[in-house]
Amino acid sequence: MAAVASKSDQGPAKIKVEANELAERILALCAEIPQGVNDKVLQASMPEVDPKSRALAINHLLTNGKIDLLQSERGLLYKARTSTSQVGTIKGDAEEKLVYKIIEEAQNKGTWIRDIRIKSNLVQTQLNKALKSLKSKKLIKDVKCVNSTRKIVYMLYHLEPDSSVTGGAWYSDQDFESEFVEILNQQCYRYLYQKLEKSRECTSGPLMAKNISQASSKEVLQYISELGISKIQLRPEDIEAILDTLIFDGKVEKTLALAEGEETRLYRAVESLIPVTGLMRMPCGGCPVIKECSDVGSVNPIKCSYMKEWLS
Amino acid sequence: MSVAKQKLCHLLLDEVFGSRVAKVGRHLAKWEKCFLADLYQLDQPHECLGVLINHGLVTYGRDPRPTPGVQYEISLDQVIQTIRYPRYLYLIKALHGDNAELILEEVLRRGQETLPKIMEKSLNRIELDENLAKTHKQDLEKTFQTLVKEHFLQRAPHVGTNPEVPGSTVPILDETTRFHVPESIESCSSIYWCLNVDRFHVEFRNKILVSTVTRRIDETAGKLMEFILSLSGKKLEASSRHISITEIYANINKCIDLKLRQYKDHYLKVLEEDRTRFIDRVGDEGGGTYVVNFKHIFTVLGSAVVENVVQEKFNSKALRIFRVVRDKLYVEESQIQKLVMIPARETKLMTYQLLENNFIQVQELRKSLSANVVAKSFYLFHVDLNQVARMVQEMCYMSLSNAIIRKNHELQINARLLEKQDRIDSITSNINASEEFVSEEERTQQLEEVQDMLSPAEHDLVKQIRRCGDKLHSSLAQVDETLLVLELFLKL
Ligand code: SF4
Repeated sequence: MAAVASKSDQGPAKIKVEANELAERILALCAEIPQGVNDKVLQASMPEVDPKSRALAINHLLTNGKIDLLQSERGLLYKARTSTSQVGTIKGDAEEKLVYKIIEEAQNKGTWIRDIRIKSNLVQTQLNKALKSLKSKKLIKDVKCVNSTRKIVYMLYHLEPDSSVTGGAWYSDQDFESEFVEILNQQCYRYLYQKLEKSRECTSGPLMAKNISQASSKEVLQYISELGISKIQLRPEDIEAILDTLIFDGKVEKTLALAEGEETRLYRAVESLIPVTGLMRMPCGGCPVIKECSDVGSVNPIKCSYMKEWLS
Repeated sequence: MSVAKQKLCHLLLDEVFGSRVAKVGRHLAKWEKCFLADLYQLDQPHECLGVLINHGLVTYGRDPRPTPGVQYEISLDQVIQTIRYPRYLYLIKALHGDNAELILEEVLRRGQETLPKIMEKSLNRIELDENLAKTHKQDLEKTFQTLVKEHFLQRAPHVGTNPEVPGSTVPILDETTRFHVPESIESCSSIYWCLNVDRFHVEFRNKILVSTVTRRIDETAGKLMEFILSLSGKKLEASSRHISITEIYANINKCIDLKLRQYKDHYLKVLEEDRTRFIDRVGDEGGGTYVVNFKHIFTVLGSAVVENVVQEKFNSKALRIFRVVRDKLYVEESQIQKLVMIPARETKLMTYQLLENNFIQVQELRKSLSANVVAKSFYLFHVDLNQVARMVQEMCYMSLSNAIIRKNHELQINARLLEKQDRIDSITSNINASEEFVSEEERTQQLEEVQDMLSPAEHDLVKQIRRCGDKLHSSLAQVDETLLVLELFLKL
């Protein structure tokens, strides 16, 4: 089947331009034959094109919703969509069509029921009915939104929700996976700290030692992938977000370096500047009631039980 | 002037100079500026005031225009520094030996003193025969000269007139003769000497920096930092003088650390490149010139202290939030949540806890000024480091006060027992020193008898009280360390 070549096969820019041209041609052909064209016709009309790039172009058109893939007695057919909107193709009453259109416009960011109501001017019961019917036809779906617990957004069924809705790699079903983040945070630090410890044994000067202790985000990512603690494939941005939390923890520092004409971020573990400061080594430093503590009243240093515990 | 600070000052004055001076001090602190007449209601105000002035804790001045009388003003910051007297002694002993400690002790006891008097008192403390006394006197004099040369001691300010305000009376520190010892000791009888506190703080400051560098990089780097700091001058300033690389190299070449000699350029580079910027390269003449920007370094250290407090008082998540807010300057709540990667509810809770405890502040930005428009405002969080540092300073004052109060309390309730123990100790040492005993057995027997004056339970109790005392004492020193870093941060 033509539509299987994966996205990652996309080559450099030149091929992309070609692919675009090709896509245009295919689209034009489909528009000419509204009943749909099959693979054989396509092949015949553009013999000079190799099957792989054709598949690519078709894939591209499919994901963008420019054409549809239909099963018929003649085999698979590619058919141009009449307009970018699919409203015309759905069956249902006028309300449903209206609602569908509004939801379609929102794309993969989704839209909220209140906005639909305002835009469509429908009363709640009508709207609910339309939504329910569309949902049962598997034309739309509801997605829980990470930003607030009770908010639900609607979008077309085949769309992959935007990361602003799902929250990206750190959310599963709108729950923030804090443990996962915590573990990654610890593991990244561990990796960098091991490097720091190794660099201490380095005998060729402090600059060298500093270099040894650094790692780029890609290296960290590789280490994490090899550990196999992540079920999903993390992207470099994800790991950088984790590394950023380590920077905010004050455990890691980031430097920008220019390597092979490309800017890379280098991370290294650092020792904190000072050990636990003197104030915090006595009970008053961490005392929750220090503001209330005075000579008079029941909170005072003489009767204080924190002190008593600390001194005994 | 905060209540906590005043309270601590009162406690410290009481510890160092006794209750009468403390009362005068408290009175002065309350009214900021006082005439002598205001103090008459107190016990021996003249003497107490004298003590305070001698130690540089009270300054005076007469400005004939607004009011004709002499006004006295206490400096609470100076009073708090009396907590460092033991550290001063310890430092000077480490740097310049026992004689220096002896001299400093005399100066500290009197506040200010003439050289002949210092000599006399120090010599009296050690009983020596005449010959030894003579050489010892010479030694002492030499040490004294060194201390002045090193700026640890200075001439005390004398009463003078501010040239700009005729008829005024103010203490004047003469810069030209400040660190000058006259040739003949005899002519010194009218010159008073006192402590130059800043010079001690320079030493403390350098120590902090060296240990920070050692911690951050390694020992060799710490050593290099020590060399550089030894060239940085004797004054407490925001930035050091320009130090050329040749000076630094000359120092390095004198030392035996091979690693440092081999990689001196690398180490300089590492010091320069560190986020804390231990040294700054300011020019290229002669291979490079460096300065130490103390102000910047102590800003970093000060915020490290504050961070440490946040971490210990709350937890590491709070610290993360705190640092996000600090780094981003002004930030909205939702932005914080995105960056810290902590569940939204927890982030919110911690953020507001930090806010409640004044570690972060909130700034409201209104789109419209009219009051009835709701939800038209942004709330931005930010950190005012100076303010937070002051607050932590205040916490230090409270903690110090509490430790002192507790210590006094422990000693007071167990006073009888401790007295008894003291007596036993002195008898024991007498027995050990005496030669009356015929045999060793007899001596041991006697000793045992003396020891039996306290029951085993009491022995344990004494031990425990002493342990408490030590713990409180050492925590006083530790909190003071925190205070010092904050002080340098806020002052420089
Ligand atoms: S004395 Fe006790 S109650 Fe008072 S501040 Fe210290 S720890 Fe808290």
